Amino acid sequence: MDFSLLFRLGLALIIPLLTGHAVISALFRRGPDRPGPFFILAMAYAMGCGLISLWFLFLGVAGLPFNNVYLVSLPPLLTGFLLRTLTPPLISPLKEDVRGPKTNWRRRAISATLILFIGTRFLLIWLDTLSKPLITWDALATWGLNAKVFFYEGSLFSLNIPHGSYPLLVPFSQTWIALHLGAWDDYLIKVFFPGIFLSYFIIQYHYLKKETGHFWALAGSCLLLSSNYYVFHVSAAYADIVISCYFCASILFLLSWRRNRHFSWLILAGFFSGFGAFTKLEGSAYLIIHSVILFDLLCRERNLRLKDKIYGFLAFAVPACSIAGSFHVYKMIVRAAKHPNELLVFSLDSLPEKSADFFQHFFEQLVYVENWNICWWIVPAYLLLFPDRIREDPRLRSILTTLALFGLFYLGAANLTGSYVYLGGENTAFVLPRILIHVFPLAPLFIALANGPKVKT
Amino acid sequence: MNEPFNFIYYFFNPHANSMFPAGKNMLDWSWKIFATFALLTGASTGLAFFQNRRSLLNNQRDAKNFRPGQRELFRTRANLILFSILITLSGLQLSAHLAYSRRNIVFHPRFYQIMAQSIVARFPGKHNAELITDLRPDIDPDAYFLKMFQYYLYPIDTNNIRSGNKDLLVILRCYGSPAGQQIPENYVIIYQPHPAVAVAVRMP
Repeated sequence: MDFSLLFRLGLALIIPLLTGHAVISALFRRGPDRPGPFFILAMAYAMGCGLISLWFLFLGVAGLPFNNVYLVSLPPLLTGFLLRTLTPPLISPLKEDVRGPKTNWRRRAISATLILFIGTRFLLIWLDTLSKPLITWDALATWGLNAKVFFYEGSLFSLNIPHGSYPLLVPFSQTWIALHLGAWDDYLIKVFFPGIFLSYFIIQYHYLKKETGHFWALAGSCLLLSSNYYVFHVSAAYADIVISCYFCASILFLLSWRRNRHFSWLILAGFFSGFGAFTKLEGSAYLIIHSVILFDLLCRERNLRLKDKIYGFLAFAVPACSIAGSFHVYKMIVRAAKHPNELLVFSLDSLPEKSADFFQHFFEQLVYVENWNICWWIVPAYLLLFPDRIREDPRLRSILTTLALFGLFYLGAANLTGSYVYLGGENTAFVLPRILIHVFPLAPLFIALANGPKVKT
Repeated sequence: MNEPFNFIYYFFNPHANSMFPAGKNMLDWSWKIFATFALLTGASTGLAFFQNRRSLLNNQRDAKNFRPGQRELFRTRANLILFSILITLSGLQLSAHLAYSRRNIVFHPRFYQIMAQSIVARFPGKHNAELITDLRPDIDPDAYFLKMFQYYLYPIDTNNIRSGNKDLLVILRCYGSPAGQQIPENYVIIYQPHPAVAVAVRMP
């Protein structure tokens, strides 16, 4: 790899970081509540990739060419810095961090082992990413191919791209990297995927550290990396890992809001939920799940005035719906053909049969050790072992509600739409495990929180 | 079984979602999964009870309902056992991942990828092409190979993504007679990197 290529790749990674950093800095000004630098950078990369993809969409809809690297790079950067300069500071006092149990030599030794495990897994993830070109099915058939088309054609219209109704964040993010490289590179465009995963990993670690202390934050991070299937997908160039990161990060931000009632978290959650809707079709349904969770959290906050609750909900809903809505408006403009999964095919007669098939396959996939280790076993085991703890802890309740809503959504999708074939029918093995990737990070989160210090209702 | 510790590969199966046959259908293993689950849960609960047996036997009246301290102890032990299983599996899976990565560190491009890249190198720039192939898009692994060939062929478009006249004809014959024998009338082969692959243009 020559120096020029490294420099170009660096630019492709640094510009989203700077763009996202400007927006995050506008949300969290300097003060006692400002998160740490690594956490800010992690949020910044995910935010920057999302914003730049939206900018691509805007350019495409406006009929402007997006294979001009200056046209693509400069406006998001400038807008970010302008936003940072103009917005008033948002500061509120931060509650004390949770102090974990006292460290002794045993805990230090375990922590060192956990760090070694995390380091090895990440090394293997990067090795898998950079040692293979795009070779997985969806990457070749949809995400990678669309990105390649956008790179060579530089426009959105008059193209008959495969799966034209699919959201565009993933292809645009790959196109972005290729534009900076100056050529299509089947290896290097994949760095987006471990990049976004690393962002989520740091976000989750930071959240757990605040809530449970250093030890359980490390353990929770290890649990996230203990799933073979999840780890494999980080380098597989599928969109599932990306939507998983945005979906779960949004849940974490909603829970972070519960901790210090800072509206910035809700705005951030809204952005990430919207980016999820711009990543995969399911993301629009996940936006509803986020809204329900936020509604539940707001209803339980008795100290908050109704006016503040409405403002809080709007702080989440405005960015989320704007981003998701912009994609749906684009779909209407280009009159994208609907995917079979979006079409309603409901029959009352087949309801019990389809539901039974769905539940059978869903639970079979959950207990598949080779994919998920035993993370999905521990969650129900904890329901039996620590029922009082789960009942009293609002964070654990929210996570369980999310999982229940997620299951309900797919039960509905199996019964009401043409996606039964993927959720309970003959193609289940190819799709259902990938769907579980979307919520998998919530299982390690649940386990780590259940083991950490207690939180009062 | 040429390599030692071959069993370790069982713990990392990255092809579970690819279009290649994965060797075993994961759904066929469901009864084993449930059996393992029952065994491990039973063993962990039994061990936790065994460790608490003295206090349980000495307090007959509290045998059904643990006293608070005992309940905590039971939960902690059960939790510890669950984590022991998790850590053991993680260790095995990490070893399997290391073994997998060591074996696959050098990527060997597939035939379809090499052929497509060779055609792109020969005909640089954008082209619209007609693809004639005997690979079936409705069965695996043909469908996967076809997608791979078409992806690596881009910006030579064989998916009708771009509108416009087709200036090339790409022939990919994998099962039948060589590509050279499948040329339609009025076409002439201008590039043939392999007997199964040919690129032709219409004669003026």
